[in-house]
Amino acid sequence: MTTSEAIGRDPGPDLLAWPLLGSLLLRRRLWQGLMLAVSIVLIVHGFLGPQLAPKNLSTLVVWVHYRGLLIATLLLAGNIFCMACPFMLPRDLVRRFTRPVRAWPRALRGKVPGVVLFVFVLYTYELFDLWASPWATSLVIVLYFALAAAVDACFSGAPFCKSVCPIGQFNFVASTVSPLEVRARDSGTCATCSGHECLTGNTEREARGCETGLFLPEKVGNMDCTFCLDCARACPHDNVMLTTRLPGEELMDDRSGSGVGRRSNRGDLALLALVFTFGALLNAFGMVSPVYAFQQGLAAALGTTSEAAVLGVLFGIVLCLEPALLLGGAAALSRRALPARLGLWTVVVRFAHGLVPLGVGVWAAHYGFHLLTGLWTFVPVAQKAAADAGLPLLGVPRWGVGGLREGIVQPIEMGLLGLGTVVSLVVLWSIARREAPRRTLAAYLPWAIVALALCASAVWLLSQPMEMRGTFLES
Amino acid sequence: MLLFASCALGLVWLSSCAPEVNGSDGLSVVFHLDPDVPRVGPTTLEVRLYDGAGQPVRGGTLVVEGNMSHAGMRPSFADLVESAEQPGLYRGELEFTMGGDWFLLLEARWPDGRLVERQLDVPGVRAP
Ligand code: SF4
Ligand code: SF4
Ligand SMILES: [Cu+2]
Repeated sequence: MTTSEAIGRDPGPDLLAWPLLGSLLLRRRLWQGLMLAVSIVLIVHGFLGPQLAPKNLSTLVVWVHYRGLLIATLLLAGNIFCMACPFMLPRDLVRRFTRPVRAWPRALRGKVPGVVLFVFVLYTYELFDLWASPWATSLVIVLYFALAAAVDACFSGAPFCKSVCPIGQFNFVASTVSPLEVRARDSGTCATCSGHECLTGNTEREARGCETGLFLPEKVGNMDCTFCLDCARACPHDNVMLTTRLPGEELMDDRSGSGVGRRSNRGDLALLALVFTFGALLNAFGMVSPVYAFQQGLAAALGTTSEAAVLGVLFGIVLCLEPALLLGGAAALSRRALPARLGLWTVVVRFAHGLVPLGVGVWAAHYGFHLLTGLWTFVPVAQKAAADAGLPLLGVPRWGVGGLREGIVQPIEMGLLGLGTVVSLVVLWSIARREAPRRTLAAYLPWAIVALALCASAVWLLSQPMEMRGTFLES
Repeated sequence: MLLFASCALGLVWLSSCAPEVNGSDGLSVVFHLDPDVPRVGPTTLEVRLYDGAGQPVRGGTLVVEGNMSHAGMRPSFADLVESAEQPGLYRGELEFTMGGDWFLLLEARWPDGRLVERQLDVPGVRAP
């Protein structure tokens, strides 16, 4: 069975048709409102509450719970956090007045702006120790709201989600290994459909069409899908379903998908996948003990005490130099087995997506660690915040509560990493078979070695003693 | 020997042999950690309390809560017991469970019922 046959096979269960779940899933505004309420509480507490990260809801919920739940829902369901994104409420409100018709500039389409912002967020997170600063964390939330509203107030469609939002890009990449997908139920119905309301919108039902430009009968996978279900509301034939699928399958699929095109033609998508994967290692490296010795060595070698400069070099090493050597080497070796003579970058673009499951494994292990070890820590902080606000409804703070012990969490981390690595190896094999049907093994091996090397470095990282410091240059 | 101390909003660097944290209430609190270059594991914490006239305060009830500057870590607690030989000296054991930046929150209840709160930053606890 080829990949495309697999994807075209019998549709699975439709979660939207399930009695309670279906109607809950279709109530996006409810979830967005809930998330907006939570965001307001976090913003206010971050600015006005105690400026101690573990005692403030802003730092605690954003860096421990939100990040952990985000990756958990992506792994267990799909892009639910984009569906419930609170930034969309003010953005939609502003849109009622501005009604933009201008299209997002051609030069900024694709994933490059999102990739740049994603790296920028990772960098500022380390440089300004955002995890330790409640007011700075609240400021980041406010800036997200403002940027979403500003971008989409000026340009039509959903350029913020599709090209700009760093969280959105993270979710799009991780959702390629999600078990759920929005898709058309029956291709025959679409073939006879003349209105294409899933894309163009349905005024009768007051439903928008897909704002990220995905046309359901030609949609391939979860890339660029925010799970908003506008398409399901708009389709006059109720031909849209939320269904199960094989996680990661779309990473091997090189059909041209609506709104996305062919993966193998999208250098920007490959860039995003790579920054996602190597960024996972970088972000985890930022909190283990050896990073401080490394940074001090770097500072001494460069003769500087500027944290910005040292971090810049560290980012350059992990996000540019290391990938260039590893991927360049793998591409040079594997392209000898490919039937066509291709440039190195072209080969990288074709195989890059195979590393995504591994990247998801590293993110899940890292954020899962924070979520599980700090699972209940929000309870006393919320109790205290309520009491401080004059509403002691939640009772006396119980400061002793934590979460799972590290000894229990570490095997879970390793399990997630192992799972990601295995899926990566499978996807890479399938890509190798597609690209080099005759010499699959020769095309595959260099990439498998890269995946295993990254996995080994992640195992090393996750077994290092944790050390979370704000400054590394000792006086 | 030297520890970095800071008052409520952090950033007031003192250079006595042990960090002293004064508040607007005229009371002073002197912290001492052993080992004095803090590392992961049990740490002996000594706190001296002085009133406005520089006299040691006896009979206080002291509780210390240690937290990391990263949210979501389980806090460590220490109950400090007053030394029989040295009045005004309170001693207890605190466990640093992870390397990195910590801060200690001291809650001292005076014999007359007053409550005094102080914060001491303990940056760069060494990983094992
Ligand atoms: S509106 Fe419905 S039937 Fe028409 S193309 Fe879209 S999903 Fe298919
Ligand atoms: S295909 Fe488009 S409209 Fe449908 S859920 Fe995905 S993003 Fe929303
Ligand atoms: Cu972390």
